[in-house]
Amino acid sequence: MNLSKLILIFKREYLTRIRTKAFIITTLLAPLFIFAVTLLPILISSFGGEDQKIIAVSDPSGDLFTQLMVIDGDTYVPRHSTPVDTLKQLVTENEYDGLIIVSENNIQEPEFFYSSGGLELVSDVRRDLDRAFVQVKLKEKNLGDEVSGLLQARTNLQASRLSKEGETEDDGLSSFIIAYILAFSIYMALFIYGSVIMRGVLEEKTNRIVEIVISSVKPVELMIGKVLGVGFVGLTQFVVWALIFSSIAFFSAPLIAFFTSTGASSATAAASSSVTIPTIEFSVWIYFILYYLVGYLMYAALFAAIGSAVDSETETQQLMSPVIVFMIIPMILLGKVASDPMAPISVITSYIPLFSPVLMMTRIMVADIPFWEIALSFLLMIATAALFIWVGAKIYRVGILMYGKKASFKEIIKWMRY
Amino acid sequence: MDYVCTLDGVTKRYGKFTAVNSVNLHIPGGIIYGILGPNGAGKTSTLRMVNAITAPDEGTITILGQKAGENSQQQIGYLPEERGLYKKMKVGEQLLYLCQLKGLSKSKAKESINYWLERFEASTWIDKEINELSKGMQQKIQFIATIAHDPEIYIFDEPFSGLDPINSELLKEVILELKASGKSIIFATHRMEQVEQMCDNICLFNKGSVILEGELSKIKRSYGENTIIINFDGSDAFIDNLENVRINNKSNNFAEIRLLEGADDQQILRSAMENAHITRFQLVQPSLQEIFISSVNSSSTQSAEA
Repeated sequence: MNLSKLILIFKREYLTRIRTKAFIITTLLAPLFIFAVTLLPILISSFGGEDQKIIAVSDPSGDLFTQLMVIDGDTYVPRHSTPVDTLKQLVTENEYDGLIIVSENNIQEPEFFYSSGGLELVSDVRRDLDRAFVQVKLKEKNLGDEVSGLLQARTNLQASRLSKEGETEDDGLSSFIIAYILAFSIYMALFIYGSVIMRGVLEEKTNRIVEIVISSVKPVELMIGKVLGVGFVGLTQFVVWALIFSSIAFFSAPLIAFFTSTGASSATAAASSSVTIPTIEFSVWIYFILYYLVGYLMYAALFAAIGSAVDSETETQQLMSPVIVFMIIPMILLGKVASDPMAPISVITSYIPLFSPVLMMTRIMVADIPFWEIALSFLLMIATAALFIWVGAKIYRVGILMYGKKASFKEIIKWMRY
Repeated sequence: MDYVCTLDGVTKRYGKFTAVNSVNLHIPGGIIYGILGPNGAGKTSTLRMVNAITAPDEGTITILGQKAGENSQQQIGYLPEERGLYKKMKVGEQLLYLCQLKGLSKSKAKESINYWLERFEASTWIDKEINELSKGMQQKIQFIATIAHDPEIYIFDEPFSGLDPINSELLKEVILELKASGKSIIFATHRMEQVEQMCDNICLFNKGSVILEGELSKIKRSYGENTIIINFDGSDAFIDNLENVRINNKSNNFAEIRLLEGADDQQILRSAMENAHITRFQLVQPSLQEIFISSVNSSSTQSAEA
């Protein structure tokens, strides 16, 4: 392996890629896009306030309606004496958002009519009616306020996560969400940069420059230089994103507080300023980058071999499908692993090298994984990456010089013996 | 004599297929050496091994006294049959990259690139991307990429294929210039007229083996003046009645007739005069095309019999 040539190849791959407009735009705009998508709804809801719904209630006996008034006095209006047909007409004309009809004899089976408003409206109405119905029944049985108070009592669960580093207040949800985001980022990165490698190899082959290059360097040097160059393009993107996100996290909480306090009441301002973007431990970033890099090496070797074996992008489909299956399986298991990180299936699948970048990363996020497990998964991945690079290089050195020959799996296995 | 490139019992197999079968070649320095042969004869496989792109399964290849490998690659400028450039890279950066891969320092590479760009009147393209250039311009850049690191040996695989006539002439000029400055040139081609005009020595590949090797003039002489070139006015019916000959080439008023054993050139002349008005009758050495076809055919029949 000639190091100075490897560096030349690495530099070309890296520099030509990070100088492209596409790279600069996606690197800078993706965080802004995510920022907009996550924060805009918060800002909009704080400015706009909710649309006040008006629902007509026709309840001749009045019992249920009285309780509905207690629950939400602004939404429910009494229309006991208006004929039902007129009320329905008004609902279709959007005069009312909905109409509840309670039969005099059986208040347990009210009817609800609406024209627009959707599922959320129906579920709100159902919830309010259920509560009102329980209150009516409690009154009937004369159980008094004590029971109704008991019925509304809730526990105040304080969930904390224990790890060797100590106790952190964590309801599981935020680390769950971050685990999902990180796992998905790794999956996307492996897929995107794997395809970049594949297209890069294919491009050199279809440009017919590859034979010129390998009359100066060994094919394996070209392949490894390429793989590392593209891998560092991905790494650069992650570092830029991490910087942008941490500065957003730093500035966004006061920003939201500022916006909300101008428009809304002080109570909501206090509530929103407690919206914190959860901080991610430094060690998690390190693991994230290492899992990306080693995972990338495994998949990149496969993608490079595929790119070398075909003559055009359309031919890649057949060869790519098994690789894609291996990338998708961990995404299917992700939900299970994230919610039950110590279950046997979660533990076993997180050791499978091709799944580790996504699944072990997820387990690290949601549970306290002993270091030896992480180390073991790295050892297995590094061994697999070495094997794949070795096999990939064998396919690559033959494939790049093979034109006009349709590469089947059988053919490719033959190449490995050349 | 000093050999710049020696192949000794070189064999290359791809699975069960033997692409190159125990080839021995001794390529002298300072000359133009032509490697000929039909498609699939093993020319490109051989050149790839000489360039240390692939390794022989058996035998050794020696380039300028050392085993073919990473070091010998720097001494060779290779223009492969399948060639191209990075489409989205600037001319200057691309040439610099390829020169540096050949082991040149940055400053030396720049100097040489500037010289050749000027020589090919291409200096103004240095900041253009390859896909902005016309096909002919790209071909010029391709030559420069092959020769800019100033190697001792130049290997051109089908160099004239796809070239426009102007670049064809230019490349020929450059090749002869390189030879004049003492460099060694190996080129593989099917184009016999180019070989006849330029090559000093040739070898002929068929089915992975070398079936003919040596100085072009000696090879041609060894066949003797066994071919008749005849130009005439009138009917060509007499040609079909000749005995012990093979008609290599026949058009309206022209024929190239190969004399086989028992043929009498004077008899052929007489029968020609009886039937047509003869404007030219000449005994010549066979053309390279003729040598090529007859050697390949006879070696193929031999191997079929064996």
